Amino acid sequence: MKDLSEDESKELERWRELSSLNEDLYQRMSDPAYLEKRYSDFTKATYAEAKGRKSSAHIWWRWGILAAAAAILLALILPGFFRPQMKTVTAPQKGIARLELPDGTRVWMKSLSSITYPERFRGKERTVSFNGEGYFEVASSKSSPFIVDADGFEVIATGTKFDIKAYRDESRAYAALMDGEISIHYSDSSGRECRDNMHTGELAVFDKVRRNNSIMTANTSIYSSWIGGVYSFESEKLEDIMREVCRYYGYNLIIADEDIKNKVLSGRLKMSDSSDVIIEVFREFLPGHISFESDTIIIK
Amino acid sequence: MSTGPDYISSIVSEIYGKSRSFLCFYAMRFVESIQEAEDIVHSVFERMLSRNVELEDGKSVNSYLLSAVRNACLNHITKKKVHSRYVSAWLKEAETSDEDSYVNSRIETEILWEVFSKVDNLPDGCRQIFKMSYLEGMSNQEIADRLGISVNTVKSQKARSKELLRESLKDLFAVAAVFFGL
Repeated sequence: MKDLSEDESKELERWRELSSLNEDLYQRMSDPAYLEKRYSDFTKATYAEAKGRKSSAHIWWRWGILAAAAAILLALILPGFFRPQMKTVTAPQKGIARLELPDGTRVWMKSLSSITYPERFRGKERTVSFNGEGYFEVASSKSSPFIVDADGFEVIATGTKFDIKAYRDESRAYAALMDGEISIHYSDSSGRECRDNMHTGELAVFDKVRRNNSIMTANTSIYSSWIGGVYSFESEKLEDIMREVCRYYGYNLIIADEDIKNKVLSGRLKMSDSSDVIIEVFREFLPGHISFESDTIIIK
Repeated sequence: MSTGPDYISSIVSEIYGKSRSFLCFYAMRFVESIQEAEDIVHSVFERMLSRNVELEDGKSVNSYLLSAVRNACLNHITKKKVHSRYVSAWLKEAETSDEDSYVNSRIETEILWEVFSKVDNLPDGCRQIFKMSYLEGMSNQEIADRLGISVNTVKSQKARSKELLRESLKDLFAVAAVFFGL
């Protein structure tokens, strides 16, 4: 028995897309719980039957149902062949990637952020893995939660708008909720599973080292301003702002002075500006403190 | 050739004997227990006898029985307002209630019936492993642990049951082959 070739998988996909009934049929036939239940039904229904009678033919093959038959059989006898293919998309440096997932969820991703998602969502949950900063407008589906898994920091939504900032190499992850409700799922330092609910206008800050999550009210709308090409920050530490800027433009950062690191400022930067223009803004703010060494910005 | 009531009732009881389990299996797609399924199937046959149902042209007895069982089941669950994991899906299906959804439920039942019949005829060891693996979704390791055998035995038994099923389901596979060019 051989795996489905690319053409065959396409054919199956096409069949599944023909009607929602085909898709339903396919879903049931690849659901072990359903098959198990039906097998138990089968055992009960045939219990009293004399042996050998069971297979009396009931099949009326028709050309119209060939596709159904084939798909079901293959799914049943060869499970695992139809596991959805995963796709990964990465946003370009200094750019924003915009994409629509198979369920209609829209995602904006900032420079070098990446998302991995199945070609088609199956089962009870819509799970994607994510690294970086992204703004999600989740297509509504109460029965099928949408889960953004950023290395153990999970945002669970059913249909809402939120921004997630969760870089693998950062010690903190953030989720800002613009609209609706989401919950944050993570395991704490003792390995206990935690789930915190969030409401519109709240910000979650997750400390990856201590593994604790705090939720606070915030002006969450500024967390999505980047999708319009503006980097807005309100009372943030200079270190955090510079890291963001350096990540976007592809610089390394060294800040040697603790006082400068902890300076707090607010502002708006145009992301379409070149790095020179942006660095000049910071030079004016910190005259004489900023120098360059190839692709590293040094502040001291 | 006689066409009197006795003749008809003898034909009906022959059909009943032949298709009762299959119809019960179909009914259990909608209702919870085998008792309900048997009652429904029985009542469909009673109605068939008492009303002397005339079949429409081009509709087989089987088609008639399946759609009668399906309607009886849907009436039953609507009346009972049963809620199970699948019932709401069936009701949704029933609401769309067109020919397609009926064909869909029928195809599914026929295929599962064929496959399960063949699974049931697998040799004991094979059958158990096949069921655990494909119907219960257990991994090779889980099966090996549960049965106290090696993972390799599980693998070889799975391969064997696939071969045996392929052999006994070759008509179905021929169908698949036509479609997919396997």
